[in-house]
Amino acid sequence: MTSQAFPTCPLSVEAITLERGGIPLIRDLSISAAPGEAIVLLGRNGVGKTTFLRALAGVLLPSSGEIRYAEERADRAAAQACAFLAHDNALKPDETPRQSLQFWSALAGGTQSVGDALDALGLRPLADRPSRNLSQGQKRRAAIARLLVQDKPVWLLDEPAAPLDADGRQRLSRLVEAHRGRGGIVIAATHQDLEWPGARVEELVR
Amino acid sequence: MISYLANPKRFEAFARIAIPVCGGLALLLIAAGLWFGLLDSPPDRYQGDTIRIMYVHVPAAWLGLGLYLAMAVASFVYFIWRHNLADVAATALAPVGAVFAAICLVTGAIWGKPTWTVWWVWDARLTSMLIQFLLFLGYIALRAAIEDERLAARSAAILAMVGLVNLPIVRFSVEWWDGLLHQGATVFRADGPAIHGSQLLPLMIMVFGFTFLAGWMVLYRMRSAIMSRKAGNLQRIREAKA
Amino acid sequence: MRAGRIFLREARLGFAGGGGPAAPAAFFLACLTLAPLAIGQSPETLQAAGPGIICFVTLLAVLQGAERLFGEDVTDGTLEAYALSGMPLSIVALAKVLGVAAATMWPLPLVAWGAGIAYGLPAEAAGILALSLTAAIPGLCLITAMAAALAAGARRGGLVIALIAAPLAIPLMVFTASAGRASLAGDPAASANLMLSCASSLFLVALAPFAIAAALRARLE
Repeated sequence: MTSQAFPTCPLSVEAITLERGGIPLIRDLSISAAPGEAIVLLGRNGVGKTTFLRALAGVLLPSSGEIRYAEERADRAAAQACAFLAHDNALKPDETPRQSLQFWSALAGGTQSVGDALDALGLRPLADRPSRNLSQGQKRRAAIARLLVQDKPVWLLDEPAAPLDADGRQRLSRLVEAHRGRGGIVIAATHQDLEWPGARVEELVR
Repeated sequence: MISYLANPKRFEAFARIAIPVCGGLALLLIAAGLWFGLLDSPPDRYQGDTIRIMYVHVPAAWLGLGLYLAMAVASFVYFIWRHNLADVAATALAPVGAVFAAICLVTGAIWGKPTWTVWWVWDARLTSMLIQFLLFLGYIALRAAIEDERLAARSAAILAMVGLVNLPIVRFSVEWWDGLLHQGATVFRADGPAIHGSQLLPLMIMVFGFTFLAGWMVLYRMRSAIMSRKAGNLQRIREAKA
Repeated sequence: MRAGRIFLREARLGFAGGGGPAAPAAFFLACLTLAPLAIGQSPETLQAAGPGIICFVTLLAVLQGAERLFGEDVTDGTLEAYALSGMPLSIVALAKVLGVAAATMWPLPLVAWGAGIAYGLPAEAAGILALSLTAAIPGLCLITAMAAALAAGARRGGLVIALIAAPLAIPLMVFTASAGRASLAGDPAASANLMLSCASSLFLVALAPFAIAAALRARLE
């Protein structure tokens, strides 16, 4: 896996308000992340963690305030800057992890090796099994491997560790560290602390 | 005008005047049109008294198409500028348009029975109106099927615009189909290019009367929708606080 | 070509999942078998109604798979991944729909040709009908995809999809069935109808992806 440093791509969130169904969910939230930083957003169910991540991914526009990646607005810059790990794994039951990774790697320009990504998550023995035969934790690993082949500086992770076992969590933690080492940013939303060394924990409250 | 009225307070003030004015004009014009049309005009030389169905049929046909166009324009405004009032307007227009399209179809059938001895002929005009009716039904069904209000509004707006772009092609294809099927069928050209003056006046009065009637219904529905949205918002805010 | 990758992936998934090309073909055949049982076996009736029935049943077969088309992508995170892939969603949608169509709908014109013969059409008229169906199927798939994107995740989505797709499918129905009927009557208008089927399909290829992308974008928010 090539591990060149990313071009610097700081994230700044300035006083954004996000609505769901006409009701403000997040009010006047400001946050910023420098290259190499990891932020764990802690919050109970329903405080708007997922909504916030979707805003960071540029698919949801804040009703006020601004989100910028290196001086460019999120809705324009996100496709270049972000990889998004949604609550669900975006795996197709008839596709094997290898096929899925090859596809997303090709779509992202194919700079990263699929084999290395499989190894990093310990998926090598399962690589050619259709996803429908994988366990929840194994599917999560395959989805995390997608982040590696997409090779974007900013990772937006929605409950990344929920179905993972101890080994999986440890691997994720190591990958996050390596990503930060390259100057990447990691934003993870979770209801349980992930205990990543050196990560900033921000509490989201209503 | 739309951005002026986008402020709910200004719309409220506008509606307070416009609703009774539209309602009153509709009542007056339809009463006058019915008087001239049903009592004060001679029966048609060829069609006798059945021609009088025209005074309902033609205005309904005009509104079936006109309200669809209005709905598509409102949808476009909502889609581009996200004025909630435009969405409220499109939502209010749809069932009213569907009802007028249905009235057009039913009166057309009633007119057809004595004129060509059948209730229904598959000619371009009747079929086009039936399709128009279906477009309204699709819009209403899509809107009703999506729970999230904003998503429903956006999706329905896209559908209305797609329908508008498609409308000329659908019309063309239906005429093409009509020409291929029964060439030279002139059933609906019976009302001909020339219409007698004694028929034209009540017809025009009825067209305007029906238009004001539609305006009255749409504005009324819009005001109710705005009120019920307000009530819903208040309730949700109270729930969110609790 | 990245759009080509999407086309190939979606074609592969379409071929493997949910019965692949066999499901619409079998459904198509079942409907075509029921039609003569419903309308009677008189050769004249069957011959006259054949092109229309075959076209109409094609629309039904295309509608069968519509609900699945975007349903999973909207809920499983694929849509977000596509949105962040840097590709315009309209291109993604076009590649996806054409990929699925190519993988699952290809048997329909073949079955239609056989069915045309069985309904008493001369081989040439059945051929023209199959040809114009081949031209119409991408267009029909894009119409149902548009409806599916608008109604993805809606209650009773399948019903709504059929209702909103029906009026949009009229031009293709008219031109395609007319091509078959005109060819049956030896009318030279058959080729004009065939051309109009192609033109309608191309029109949809050019414009429907934007509507699909707008609908999907609304779903992302």
